[in-house]
Amino acid sequence: MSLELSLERVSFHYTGIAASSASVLRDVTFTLAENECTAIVGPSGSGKTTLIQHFTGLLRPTRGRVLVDGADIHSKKYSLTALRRRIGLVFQFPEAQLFEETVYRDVAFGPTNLGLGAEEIDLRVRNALTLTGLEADAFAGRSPFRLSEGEKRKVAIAGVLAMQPEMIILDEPTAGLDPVGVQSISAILESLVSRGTTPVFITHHMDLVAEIAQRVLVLSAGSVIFDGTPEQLFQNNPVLEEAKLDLPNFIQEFAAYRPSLPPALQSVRSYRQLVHRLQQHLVSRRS
Amino acid sequence: MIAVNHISFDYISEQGSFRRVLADVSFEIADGDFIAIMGANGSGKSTLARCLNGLLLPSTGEVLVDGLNTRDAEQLRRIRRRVAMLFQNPDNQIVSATVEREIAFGLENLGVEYEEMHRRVEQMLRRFSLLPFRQKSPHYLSGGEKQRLALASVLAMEPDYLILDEPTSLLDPAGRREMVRLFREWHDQPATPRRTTVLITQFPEEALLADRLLILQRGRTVMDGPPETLLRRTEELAGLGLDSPVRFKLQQLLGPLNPAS
Repeated sequence: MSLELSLERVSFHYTGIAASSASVLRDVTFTLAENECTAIVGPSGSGKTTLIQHFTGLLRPTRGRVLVDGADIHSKKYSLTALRRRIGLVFQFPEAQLFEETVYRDVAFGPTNLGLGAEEIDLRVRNALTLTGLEADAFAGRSPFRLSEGEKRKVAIAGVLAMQPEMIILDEPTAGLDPVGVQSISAILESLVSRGTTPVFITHHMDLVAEIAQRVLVLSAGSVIFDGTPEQLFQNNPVLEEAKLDLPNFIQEFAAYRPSLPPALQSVRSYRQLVHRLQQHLVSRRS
Repeated sequence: MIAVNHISFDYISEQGSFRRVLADVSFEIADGDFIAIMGANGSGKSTLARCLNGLLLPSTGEVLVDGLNTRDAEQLRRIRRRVAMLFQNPDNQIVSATVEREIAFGLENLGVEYEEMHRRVEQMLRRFSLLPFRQKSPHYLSGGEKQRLALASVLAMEPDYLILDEPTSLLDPAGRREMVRLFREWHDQPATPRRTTVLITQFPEEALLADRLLILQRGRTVMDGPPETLLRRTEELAGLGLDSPVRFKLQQLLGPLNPAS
């Protein structure tokens, strides 16, 4: 399976009573590649959430086209329902939408609606829970309302993963979580790439971008002002300034140490990576 | 001064089972203190914050604000007037149709006179860079602007104590910097009694702003001391599900390599 999502000169503005100068997109063009963990960053009000609503046809561009595998998703015969099975969308604070009595039934909700057999549903629910780091047997029978904030969010993400989408779009998946919660969401996103689901996420958390993103799109006032790797972004001061972004905390603090480290350690982007490389480095020096 | 005396708090679920969220917590907040509170999700931070101004009453124990007991229903108005609270999500706090009405809302409730109300609203609009939005609906503000409005609205009531419950966790980096600047500025301004701040946060860098740090685990205070000292205990903190500043982690890992040290 492969999925190619392209935006072609997409502009968007609200009309009617909700009309306002905010939340517009201006001439946005890019293609999201398969298996490439992509972060979307930018100040609040820059159009990030509006942008991802175009990915599954929740919003329709005022101008321009959204193409999936070359087909315009707003053409007459195109099935948006089928598209939404291929691209999963996880809104901000998705745990607010949990409603079933057990974790199992909540995660099974999507696959059940697909009309799948009981066995297939069971398999998908278990896989999805495991992917999010929740042990299926331990959590299946529990009430989603009595879990911790981090666990609730994982259940909500598992509900989307159970649809086995080819791409999953997440709007600020770590907002409001504690460091343990942030770390586990980061691990989930990282593991998805190798399992055939491409993660695309909005975040304000620049250390998360540094740690797991392979590509970053920067939005400012509705335009994509940067499209490249995290390394390229962290060296691009004009873009960082225009979008009022900070360098990741780690990158800022690590600068003082970098020159005195061996080359193999100089390119790390996160504390976790540093620890990992340092271990490898010590092992290789010993052997 | 706020005295927290042996408070416990139990939540009772609809199914009738109960969960202890705070267990025998005691500490004092002196006038002029800047205290940070950290703890993993579910450690009881927000419950503790809500006990400080009587939004929640402890199951046992008591909270005294300048000697006024939060259990005393007749004193609650006075207590809430002194102890202001800012929440994580401004959408849960903002109620008015325009920005200036929002700032005036609390003042009307307090029965502040028209002239004085007008003066304070103008002052807040200016100090919090909200003048261009004064007639606008808060609905059209960005997340950072909304949180600024929420802070302006509680500070317009001229409290002595400010309780901030993860006030920056949903903001973008620029909004976060601005929010930190604004509550620091409020705290540092000379006043009688001296202004007192309690900041609940997940960000270790923000906890470093405080003079004192309390760390909660499963409803108990497990650490209490200067943030500069506590936040260097990186392994212990990790065990509590908490992060320490990257600066301290790097110092420990690479200390001898730092040219500056």
